[in-house]
Amino acid sequence: MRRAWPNAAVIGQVTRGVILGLLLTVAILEMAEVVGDVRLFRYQDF
Amino acid sequence: MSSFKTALANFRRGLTSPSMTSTVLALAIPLVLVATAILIGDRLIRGGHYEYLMSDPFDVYAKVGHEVMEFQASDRPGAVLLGDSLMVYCVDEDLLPDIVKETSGVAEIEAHLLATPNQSTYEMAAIVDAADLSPGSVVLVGLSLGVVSKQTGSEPESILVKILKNPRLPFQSAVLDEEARLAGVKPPFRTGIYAFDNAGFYIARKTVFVKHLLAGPAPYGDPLTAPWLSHVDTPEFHAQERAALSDLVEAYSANADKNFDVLARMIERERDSRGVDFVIAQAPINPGWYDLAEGAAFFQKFAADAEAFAQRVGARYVSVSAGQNWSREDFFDYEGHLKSPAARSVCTETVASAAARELRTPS
Repeated sequence: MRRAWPNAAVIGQVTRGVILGLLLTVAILEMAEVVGDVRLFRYQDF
Repeated sequence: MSSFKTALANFRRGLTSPSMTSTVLALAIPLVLVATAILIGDRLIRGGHYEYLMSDPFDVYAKVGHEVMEFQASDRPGAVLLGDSLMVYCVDEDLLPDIVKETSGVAEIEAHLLATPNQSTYEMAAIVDAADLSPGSVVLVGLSLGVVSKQTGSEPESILVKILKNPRLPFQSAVLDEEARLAGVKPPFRTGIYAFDNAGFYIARKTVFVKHLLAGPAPYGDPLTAPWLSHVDTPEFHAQERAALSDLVEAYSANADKNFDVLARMIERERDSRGVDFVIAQAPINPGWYDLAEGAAFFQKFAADAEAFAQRVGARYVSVSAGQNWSREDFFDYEGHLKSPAARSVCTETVASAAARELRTPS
């Protein structure tokens, strides 16, 4: 009996979109950190 | 089986080939995250999960930011202690609330240590403004050389310029922006949207936030276990500190007056608008300074200036070190970070009871 699979191509496209979206988000945040010269002050930064 | 193989091939094709679906999704994800950040606003730092934002167990800025924002919701009077890391090491937070309650005789009282490393007078003004204290509250300002010697004004080296560019605390303050204008510095454009105006605080912690989401948050650590202490508690470092006394004197002479003015404006503003009282406390001083002739003269002048400032603003003055039998061994360094539990206990008692005595029931 043939099992009905969900549209695997769509799942692949969604997976691709999510991965690319997360990578894009990380890239935007990294750029914002560099462009904005964002610094994290640690305890010993006197 | 062949249908599974077909599905797998289709999945691979969907995964590796460009498509409108994947493109729209890829663009939507950062937008959704931005929208989520806007909707969440300050709830994460304000709420009980702020520890997910701690960059390390000694991220005092995240901890104090959380306490300030949590305190905003309280309508009870409270005692707030400000200062730099000297006050962080002076005050044992486990003892603070009980001493304040006992001395004031008021059970329903809040007590918060809102000192942060390298705290500036501008940040003190911002913290007090953001805390929105109730009438009858008291603020104890811990004065150390570090607090009053910082460069002010519009130069790039000014602490004001630095903290406007890289805010250390997770909130904005109209008072800080006004101090900036007074100093001739244009404050950054404020959108009024918390996520945008405080983005730097969160972007700096983005990696550790994800780590905490996966592995759990790091609770606030005991300051006495901070790793940097072993670097300063050495004879070599102490010798360097003594040798740099003339630099301390120069920085103090150049900048103290302006920093005292910032504090004076803060005190007048809070007294008039919120009915808050103030105590001026001289932060701990390492008695080793008095072995140097120039050190003794300078620290006596600093103490006299701090007391004169307290008189100027009509506040009670207390010197934490006065009358104590402390030795150099009670301190990590000449800057004044207390080491011994006994000395910390005495310091806590001194500042907490000084603040508590000023607490009054609002009329």
